[in-house]
Amino acid sequence: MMVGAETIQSALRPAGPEAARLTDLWWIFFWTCASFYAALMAFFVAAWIRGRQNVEPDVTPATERSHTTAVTAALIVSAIGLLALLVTSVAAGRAVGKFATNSNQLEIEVTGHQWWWEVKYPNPAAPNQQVVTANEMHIPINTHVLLRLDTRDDIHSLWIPNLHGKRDLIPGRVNKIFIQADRPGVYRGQCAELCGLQHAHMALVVVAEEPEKFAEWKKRESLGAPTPQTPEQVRGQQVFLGAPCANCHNITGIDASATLGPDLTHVRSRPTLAAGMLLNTRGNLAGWISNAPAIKPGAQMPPNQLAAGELQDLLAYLDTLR
Amino acid sequence: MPFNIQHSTFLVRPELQMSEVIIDQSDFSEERATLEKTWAPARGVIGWLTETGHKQIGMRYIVTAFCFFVLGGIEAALMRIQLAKAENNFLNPDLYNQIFTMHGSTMMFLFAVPIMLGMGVYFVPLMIGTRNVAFPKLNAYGYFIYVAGGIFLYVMFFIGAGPDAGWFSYVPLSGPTFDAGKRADTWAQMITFSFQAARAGDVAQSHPAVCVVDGCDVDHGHLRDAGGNAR
Ligand code: HEC
Ligand SMILES: [Cu+2]
Repeated sequence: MMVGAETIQSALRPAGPEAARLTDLWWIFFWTCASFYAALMAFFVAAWIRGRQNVEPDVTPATERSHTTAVTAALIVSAIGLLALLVTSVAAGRAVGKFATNSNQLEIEVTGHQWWWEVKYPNPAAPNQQVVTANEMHIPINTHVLLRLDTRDDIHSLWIPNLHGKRDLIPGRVNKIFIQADRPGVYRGQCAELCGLQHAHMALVVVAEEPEKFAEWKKRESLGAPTPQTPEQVRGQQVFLGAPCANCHNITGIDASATLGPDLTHVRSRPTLAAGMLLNTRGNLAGWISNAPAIKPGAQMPPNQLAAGELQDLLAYLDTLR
Repeated sequence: MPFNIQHSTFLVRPELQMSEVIIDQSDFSEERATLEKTWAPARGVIGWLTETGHKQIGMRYIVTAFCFFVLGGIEAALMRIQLAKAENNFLNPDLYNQIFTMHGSTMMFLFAVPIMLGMGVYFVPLMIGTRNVAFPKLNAYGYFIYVAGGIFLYVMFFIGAGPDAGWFSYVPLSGPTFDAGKRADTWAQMITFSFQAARAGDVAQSHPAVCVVDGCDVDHGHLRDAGGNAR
């Protein structure tokens, strides 16, 4: 089981006000439709039984009239039912669509890539302390979080069912969605708009935590990578800079600032690798670096032929990126 | 007596309803024989292939569409099994994307549209009182091109080139940047076939229907042409 499974990914187990509203709506729809369905089936059965009893069709003006009354009544009841569903649905849509104006709201930029999520915490006051991570999102509980959604390539859709419904990421425009978590937890999210070969492996985890813990996390993430200490780690950094890694990845603090792949400044602090595919263990990391496309066919990270020693050094260096 | 209603025998008076058309009671055995021959169903394989009766073609549409409906339903079930829980490994991502696309395309273009078409082809001539749609051969062509599109789609799927960019070929995913290979072309080809069929069927049946809605009367020639003389 992958990380994030502590909380089952489910739209029916809401962990925030938006999701709770949508869950209520879902149950209203479910029970309304279920009762209509049951009533309809009961009428069918009754009609069938009566049809078998009456050999001669009973068509007097009186029965005609009673049939007209029954059909009219059924029409009215159906129309009222549909109208009621429409009203509740529109009301719920408006309620969750309302952008709250909460002073302590947090803004996060989420960018979709084939096939991973870039998550950025802009810091206009101190741009060099902006936090950039991938496939994970930390949020403080009881805070309205505004997500600005954009995509680097294809259409995607962000869906964290325990927190909210889906919102598309459309090339060339920024979509917005508000989420809020009421209780700490790890909520799994995923891409919900077919976006190519590895659409299935485009997950992210949302870690909702107490505001103090969140602040701590954010503080740590805003720091650059530590200077390597052991000779192994120093050699590993050289491997990283010598191999093509820096053409695609950013590590704040060293000469690597590309944005084609996920930011690796704190890669080892994340729960998963490759958008939820692998647990973030040293072994998985080694396998991923050696041959990413074998694990995630189509992934835009090429295989790397490193000597065994080089790979060990590189892993030792990456281990410091926490 | 379906066959002795013929133009020359109509005494259509504008003030009369269609149901009140007066029919001359003289003997039409000769005309009847000609018409029986003209309208008799074709026989054999060649007959099956050249059949242009609207009921036959309509029924073929309906039956074929239901076959595709079953295939689409199986695909839906496979997808639902995969999605029953997160991180399931029932279908691999590539196969899933193809089945997802096959399901949507099948249900929309090989079931929903053709079944409507089939109903129209079957019922519209009956409802407006013509012997066939306006262009029976065009109508038959439409059916065959529809089947060809459906078979093409499934052959491509089974040889591993099934479309994988969603039921309406989502841009930009289906564009050259993101979808190398022939898969988007497979989808486009199927759509071309199926839309051509829809267009053909629409034209074939809408002609008399428009006539009725517009109120051109029987004597005006349209319906008669639509029935007999068009062949
Ligand atoms: C051509 C660009 C490219 C090169 C070169 C490259 N990567 Fe990547 N890397 C990527 C992309 C794109 C991803 C995201 C793939 C995905 O999840 O679909 C990625 C993902 C990763 C991840 C997982 C990150 C996460 O949080 O999921 C690690 C770790 C990583 N690369 C390390 C390396 C190392 C080490 C090297 C050099 C040996 C390297 N990469 C070279 C593009 C590249
Ligand atoms: Cu996606």
